[in-house]
Amino acid sequence: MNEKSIAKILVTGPFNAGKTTLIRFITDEQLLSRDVETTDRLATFKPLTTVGLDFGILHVNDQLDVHLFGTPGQARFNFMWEVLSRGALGTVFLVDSSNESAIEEGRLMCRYYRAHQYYHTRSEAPLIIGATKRDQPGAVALEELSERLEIPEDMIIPCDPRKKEDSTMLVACLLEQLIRNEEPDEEDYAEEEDDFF
Amino acid sequence: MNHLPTGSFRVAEQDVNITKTLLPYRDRLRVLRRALSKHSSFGVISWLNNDGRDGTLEIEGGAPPDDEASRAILMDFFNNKIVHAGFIPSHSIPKGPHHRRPPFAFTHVLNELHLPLQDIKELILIFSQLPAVKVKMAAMHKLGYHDGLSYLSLYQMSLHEEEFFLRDFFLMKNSFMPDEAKVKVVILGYCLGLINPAHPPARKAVKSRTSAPRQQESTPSSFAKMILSKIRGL
Repeated sequence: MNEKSIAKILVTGPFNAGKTTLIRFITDEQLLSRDVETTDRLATFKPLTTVGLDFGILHVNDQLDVHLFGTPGQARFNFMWEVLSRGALGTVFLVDSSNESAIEEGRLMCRYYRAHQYYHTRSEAPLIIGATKRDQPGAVALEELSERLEIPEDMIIPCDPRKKEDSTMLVACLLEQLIRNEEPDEEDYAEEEDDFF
Repeated sequence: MNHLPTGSFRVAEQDVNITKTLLPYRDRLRVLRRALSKHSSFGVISWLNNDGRDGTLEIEGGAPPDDEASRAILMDFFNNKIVHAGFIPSHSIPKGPHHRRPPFAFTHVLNELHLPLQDIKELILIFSQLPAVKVKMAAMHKLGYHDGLSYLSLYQMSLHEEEFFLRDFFLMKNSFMPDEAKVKVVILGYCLGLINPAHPPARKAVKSRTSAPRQQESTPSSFAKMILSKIRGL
């Protein structure tokens, strides 16, 4: 009997961006997520936050499960990114696009993440940025966010993790990027030559 | 090196002598899809208008050249009253790997295109009759298309429907998009091959049945494909 394979996807990003919500929507089972009262200066933004890590399982079929790991958003937990990102298919990076300090922290996290990823694997696993809280006052334009995060604009997708369809779209974009990277010869957009009118 | 086929107009003129009926929009799009959806497309799109004038557009690497002349010709292809059109593949395709030419001329024309209400209605009807489709994600600004948000909405909608029909996109309520924007983004997806049938043609199924059974490979992209098909149904 074949063993079931496990694929891993990392969900990361600065504080209060919607990582826990995204994992909740995407997965069939959620484990280990633990919210506690926020105690530091971030308590002004939200009363509860994740400690440890968020973890969810998506049962794809009888051959494959996907484990989604969500890292805590506070900088003091940075050491966990490196451990969790090893062997991941790719990373969904959420950032609150209406919060100046979150964007700045996001820039540092992106830079750190990409450097470490490259150091360990000599390649860049796909990364997709979900720009959240687009409806909040002060949300920066995607072009500006792209410049500030030092990430190409086509890697940034506007997203509301409270909407299931947005969460699935973000993960789908990540996976399509991975397929494109893995199969660079597939230059054609079309899959079938046949007309289907 | 000239890759253009010769004698194509003779064929077009002969056809036109038989009928002056305007070519349905769907046939124009079919021609564009044949020409633009494959990077291996080399040849020429040719057509004849109902006033007897003709037009040609050279295609190399799945796209016309991105210059003013090609854009103007392509705009004519959309706006003129056409009675015959076809894509004539070149018989002298250059050897070696073919690189896709960016479809900037096509997307530029779509950015500028204004469709009459009657054409919009006709196109909505045509697209609404299509069977279930799959939509591929693509960065619109990389393709030179300005309305990335409409494409993102289309893609997003396709993800959370197990069987996605384009008619649902046109029937979408509370949409910020005018019908013209929806139609244009579907034209783009159809012609560039980003929108494909959800269920592959039967001949492909037969081929896969006759080939030797193969264990599913455990590569990141095979995992990604499995996960994608799962989350499409979420």
